[in-house]
Amino acid sequence: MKLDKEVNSTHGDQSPIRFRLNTSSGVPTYVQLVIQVEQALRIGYLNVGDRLPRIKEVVESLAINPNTVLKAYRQLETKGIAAGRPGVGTFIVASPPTLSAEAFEKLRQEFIDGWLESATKAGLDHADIITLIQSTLESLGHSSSIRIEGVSQ
Amino acid sequence: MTSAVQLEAVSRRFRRRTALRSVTATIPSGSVTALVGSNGAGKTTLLNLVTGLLTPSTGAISLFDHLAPGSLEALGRVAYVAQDGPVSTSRTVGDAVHIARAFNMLFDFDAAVVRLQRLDIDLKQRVSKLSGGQRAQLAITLALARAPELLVLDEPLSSLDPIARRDLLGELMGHCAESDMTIIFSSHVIAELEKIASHLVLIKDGEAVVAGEIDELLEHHRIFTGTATEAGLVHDGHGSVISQAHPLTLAPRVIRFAVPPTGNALFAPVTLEDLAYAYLEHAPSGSGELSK
Amino acid sequence: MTATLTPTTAVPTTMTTWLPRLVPGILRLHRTALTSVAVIYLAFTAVALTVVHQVGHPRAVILAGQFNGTLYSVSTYVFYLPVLVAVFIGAPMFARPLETGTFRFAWTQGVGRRRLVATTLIVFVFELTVLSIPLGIVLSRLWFDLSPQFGGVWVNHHFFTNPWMLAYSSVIGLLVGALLGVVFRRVLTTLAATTAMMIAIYLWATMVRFFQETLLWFAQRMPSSYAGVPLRNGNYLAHYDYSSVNLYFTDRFGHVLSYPTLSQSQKLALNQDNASELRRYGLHVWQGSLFHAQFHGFLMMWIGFGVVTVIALVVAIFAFIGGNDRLLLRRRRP
Repeated sequence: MKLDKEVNSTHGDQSPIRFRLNTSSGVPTYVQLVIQVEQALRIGYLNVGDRLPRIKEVVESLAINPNTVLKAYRQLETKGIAAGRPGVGTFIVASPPTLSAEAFEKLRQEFIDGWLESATKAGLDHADIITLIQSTLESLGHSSSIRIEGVSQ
Repeated sequence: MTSAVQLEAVSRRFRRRTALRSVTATIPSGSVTALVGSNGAGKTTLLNLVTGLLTPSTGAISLFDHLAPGSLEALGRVAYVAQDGPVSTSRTVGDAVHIARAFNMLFDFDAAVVRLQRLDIDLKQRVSKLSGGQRAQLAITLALARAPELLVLDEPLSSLDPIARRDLLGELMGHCAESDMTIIFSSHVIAELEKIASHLVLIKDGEAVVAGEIDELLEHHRIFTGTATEAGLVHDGHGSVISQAHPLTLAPRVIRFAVPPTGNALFAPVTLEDLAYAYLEHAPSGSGELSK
Repeated sequence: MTATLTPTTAVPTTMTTWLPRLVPGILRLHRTALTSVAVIYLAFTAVALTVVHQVGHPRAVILAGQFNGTLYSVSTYVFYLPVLVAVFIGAPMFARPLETGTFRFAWTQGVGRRRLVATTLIVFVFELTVLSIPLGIVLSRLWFDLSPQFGGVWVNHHFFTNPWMLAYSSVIGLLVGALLGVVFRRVLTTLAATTAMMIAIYLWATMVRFFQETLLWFAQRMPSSYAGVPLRNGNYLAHYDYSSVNLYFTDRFGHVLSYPTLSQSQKLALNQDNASELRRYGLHVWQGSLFHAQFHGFLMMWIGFGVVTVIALVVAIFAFIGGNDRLLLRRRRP
């Protein structure tokens, strides 16, 4: 696993993003990294052309397995957001598709008025709903789904 | 080279007891393997076997595909930090570093000194006056300076404070990112493992009840909350229940599947902790280990 | 810390590659022990040299029957040096790392346990040998010059404090301590066992009769090459000067006699330097070629006794550190 071997490393060539980890959230680590990249892109912290942190830097500061970071970066590549350049690093190539505020709100209302109401009427509680959504997404092959555990209010 | 360590039906008997029975596992190179088990389960014995301090009673161990542990070639490539971080019986820290350099062809003296400075360990300090954590750090420093291909650590974190722990883990992960270093460390604390370990070997009463890649293990296990009967109905013969909760109580039960189940909403994903506890509490029934 | 070092695993490393790197580490690791040995041996050599100065002409001393107290004390202490070496240097050498667990560090280093143990032993054996020789030369020279009238005791002193005896008894003391350390793996137990063993060895060696009978057994089988008075079994009485202190006397049945048991006339015959007289007085003399300091047969001392013992001890040490791990590693925690 030789990753991100920098051939021409320039001092001060820091990636703009610094990752943080929430160990108690139940969200898999690599998913957290993916989310943080996407959020940073949305906010504007990261732009197209920026380099993502070197895997070595990430694992040193977060104390996580390099495979996890690799997984996250691969996920970003699959989504078309990032692309790796061997010997140089992983770079942002596109922004994630953003939903407009109206489109987001429309989907949310559809969810509440439609399925969520039926489910609540049928007696499903918070945890049941999450489990159902989770396993459905999994079975439909949405491998990047977030594993949510526990009950969070 | 695909495997750093290969154990084939390894067992180790002492005069009055059997420490390990028929352990079979493969530790791929570049992996970070957590060796978990309760005290006295056989973790240290296993590490002593891998590093060549002990020889197996039966079975075979090979390092880097073809080397015997304890052979000169293997010794040059494997660094061991045993429990309590032993170093040479030298007087000062500086002596210890010099001696380590004398004992190894491959040794980065300057890097060792730099690391000790970073940790505020004075070279002139007497080794006997070091705290447990400092001694552990010294031992780790000397091991890392050898640029080993396989780094074996026996409960390296137990004498370190939380910051030192995190820093060390980060540093080790950095090494893994840069080189092909394989790490095996034993731990009887499970909480932090999921972040850093890629592979798991679980030892219970001298047997490897679990040995494999963590992602795969998690894929093949689920949790079901309910009675034993309900659990049986739900897995319908495709899984076997590992947890040992009372059959009639509504308890979370960890179930192992030969094939990862799909689409069953009654199962929840399992965390590494759940899985480890379930196996550690599971009474041995000869159900065999999950080896991948 | 980066993996920028060039691995030498592909290059076969031999002892010659290792030694220049390893020896300074051993010196540093055992600095205290090596320095103590040097200080003690050199101090005794220095004191003995001052005695040489005082003793004066050999013949005058013999005739005057002079006896020098300092020499006696020095020799007594030197006589017991191998015990010191065994208990304070040899015993903790491997017992300490085995007890404290630091052997888990030493034996997983690149050098390997056998080379490490071998080099450690070589360094100490070398130092003990080199330091024993001048000390032994000075003391032997002194004892040669003194009268044999002090009986069995001086025989022991002379016997043990000539260069080769001192060298190999020091080395054997070291190896006995080291071996017991590898056997018992605990410092206190090893100290006790080493003390007991050294006492046993010394008792055996200083029970004049037993020791002499044993050495006689070797002497009878070793060739001698001095012409002179023929004795039984083809041995010859050596040239009869102060080397006579090396002779063993037997009665006509071959039983060893110690000097005090000789009759006056026998002693007179001895002192008068008259070899042919000896047989007249019923003394049968065995050529102590084994122990004759000036005889080129001094090599016999090594082959006859020292080398065999040294080799046996070293082999035993390696047997204990080698494959039989059951003896070495035991569970440390409940």
